[in-house]
Amino acid sequence: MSKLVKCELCDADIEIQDDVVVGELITCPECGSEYEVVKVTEKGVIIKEAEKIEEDWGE
Amino acid sequence: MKIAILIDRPRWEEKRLLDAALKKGLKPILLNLNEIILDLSRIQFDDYDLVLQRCISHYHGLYASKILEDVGLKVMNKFSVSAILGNKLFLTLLLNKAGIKTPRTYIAFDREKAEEAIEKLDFRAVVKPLVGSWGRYVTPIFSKQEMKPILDLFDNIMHPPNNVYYVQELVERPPRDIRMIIAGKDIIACVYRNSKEGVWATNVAQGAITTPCELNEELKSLAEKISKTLNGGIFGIDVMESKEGYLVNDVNPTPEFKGAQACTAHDIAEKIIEYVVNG
Repeated sequence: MSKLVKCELCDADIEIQDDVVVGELITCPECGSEYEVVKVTEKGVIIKEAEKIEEDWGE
Repeated sequence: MKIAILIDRPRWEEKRLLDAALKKGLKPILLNLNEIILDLSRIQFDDYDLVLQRCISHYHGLYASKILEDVGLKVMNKFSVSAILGNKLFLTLLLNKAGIKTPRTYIAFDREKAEEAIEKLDFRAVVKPLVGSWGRYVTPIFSKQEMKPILDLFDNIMHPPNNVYYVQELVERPPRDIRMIIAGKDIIACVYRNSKEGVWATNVAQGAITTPCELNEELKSLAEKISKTLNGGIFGIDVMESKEGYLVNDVNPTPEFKGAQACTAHDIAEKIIEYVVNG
């Protein structure tokens, strides 16, 4: 079952997939804010505001 | 077999690779560079059989590959290959030397000379940062009037190591390109990346939609030539369909494949892991 976390900016629910891992980036479906997953627990996940996209990111 | 998937920001692709490795009965781990400190005078790593480098940051991946190779670990793709492919100037030189057709490219170290290069291309050019991806800052110039304001904006991002003008001809092509993913000699995916309406770029990161692309002998031969030039590895090859034939626009050392997977029947991550295991 997927987990939910609240967007710190707009308070929308962000769905977290079961296979979430620490360090993963997630995006709020409502406002587009980017978060990084810092901890995964039984109850849910802890997130923090993500770093900005760096110039050397990507494929 | 112990395999480390080297990451700094795990994406959809890295999780699929982890799943595929588990399915294959391997002992994979996600090795996150953001969770470790490295003492260069005493580097100690678990005895992995292989490290699959999948960092989102080109430089993180490059530096970590160098460190890991120095302590004797096998890293895929190799540091020396990623170093070349991560820089458009080095990549274009390599492709041209190997006789692989690319868009005509000029390098200028001075703003006036960059303008001269764009004039040589009849003011239809593309300027690109040497290091970068997802099509960021890749900017087409369609007329003389556009050249100055675009170069003015471009000058603002020209910090080292990007402080060189990489100017390419603006290739006349359909609003799509071809993305092939190769693992060694095998082409494990081949798709069109169709530009989102109103967007010039063909990057999936910029909204392009993938559709299946049938392989032909010419594409197969192109992939084989690139694989041979790079001495094997896992790559994403971007090909433009110009009036004069296929032109190779980019070769990526850590290809994303979520878009390609959407219209590919077999599991791309499994094919990558099979190649990693069997070589």
